[in-house]
Amino acid sequence: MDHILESSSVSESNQAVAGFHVVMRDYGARLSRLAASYVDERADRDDLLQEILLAVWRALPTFRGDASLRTFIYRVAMNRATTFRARRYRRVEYPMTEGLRDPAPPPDARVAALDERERLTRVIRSLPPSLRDVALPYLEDLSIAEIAQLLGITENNVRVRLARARDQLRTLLQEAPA
Amino acid sequence: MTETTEWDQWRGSWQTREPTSDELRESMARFRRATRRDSVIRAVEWVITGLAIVFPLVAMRHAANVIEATLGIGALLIVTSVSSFRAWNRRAERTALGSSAREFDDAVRALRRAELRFVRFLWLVLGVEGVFAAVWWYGGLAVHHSALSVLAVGMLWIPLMLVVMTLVWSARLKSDAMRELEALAHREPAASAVDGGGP
Repeated sequence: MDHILESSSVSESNQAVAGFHVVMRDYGARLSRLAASYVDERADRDDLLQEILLAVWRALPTFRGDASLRTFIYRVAMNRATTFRARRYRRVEYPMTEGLRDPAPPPDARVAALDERERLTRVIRSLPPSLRDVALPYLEDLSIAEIAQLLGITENNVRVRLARARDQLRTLLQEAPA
Repeated sequence: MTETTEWDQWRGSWQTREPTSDELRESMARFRRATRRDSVIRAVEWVITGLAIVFPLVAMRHAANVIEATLGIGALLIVTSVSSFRAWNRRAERTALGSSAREFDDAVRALRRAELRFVRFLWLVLGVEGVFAAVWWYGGLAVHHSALSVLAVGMLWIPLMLVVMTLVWSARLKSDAMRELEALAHREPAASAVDGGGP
């Protein structure tokens, strides 16, 4: 990904933008996955990713190091994603297993592997917000302590939510066709 | 299958979802466009705010009576308060973005309630502003109609347009705020239900 960042036309003399390059290099893929787990449509994902990048760019100067940069960026991204979803969709968020039961079986193994990831993304998207908020960072290797800091809840609460998220993920993945 | 193994398996599947080079390049390009657009929008907002402040100031130099002058000051106060409120709101939201999810929810809830209060205040004063603009428009035309250029007559419509634009903007602000408050209200019981149970 480095060459993509190096080839961008943003001035290196601008420290904030240079710092943002580092963020994009280290967190671009994670933020992209996070956007995909909040909204379904491709256009909405692109819009949300853009909103997240803008929010991170604006919030970076306020970073004071009271948490790790990873936690901070995740906080900003998840907070922005939550408000984006609230503004974009009027409907209430509930698990929607019906939405998981669709397409025809994939034709080959490569497509099947891609579909497996997409299936997981759709299942994550259908989790209730309180469970998705812990499952997402956990899937991105954040520790329980970091997730507790991220959400402003106790580590015990994180463990409880993770256990419930695991149960729901298991059930939803079993219900969703491969 | 143990819990750790299950999470590890999902994690492995989850983290293989990497965006392609084209997608990342496109994201960076979109981001650059968004920052440019953001800068332009802010500049335009400053210009509009500046004009909205200067216009009543200039108009007040020709105030026919105390009522017109008072209403002109009212218009100035509205424009200044709308502008200040937006700046404060943006800064507060930007600061809250780096907070934990729970603190952010609290901050957003407080901000949206403040927006609703502000909209109610705005609708009250917009009525007064509308009266000012109508009097100013009617009086201005009645007194100066023979000496006014086409441009001057056109400018007489600006206060009324500002009132309508502010009204539309405040209606959207109210709608967005209520939608977010509704979404937050639905998040709370769900989180409480999860936290209330054991592992």
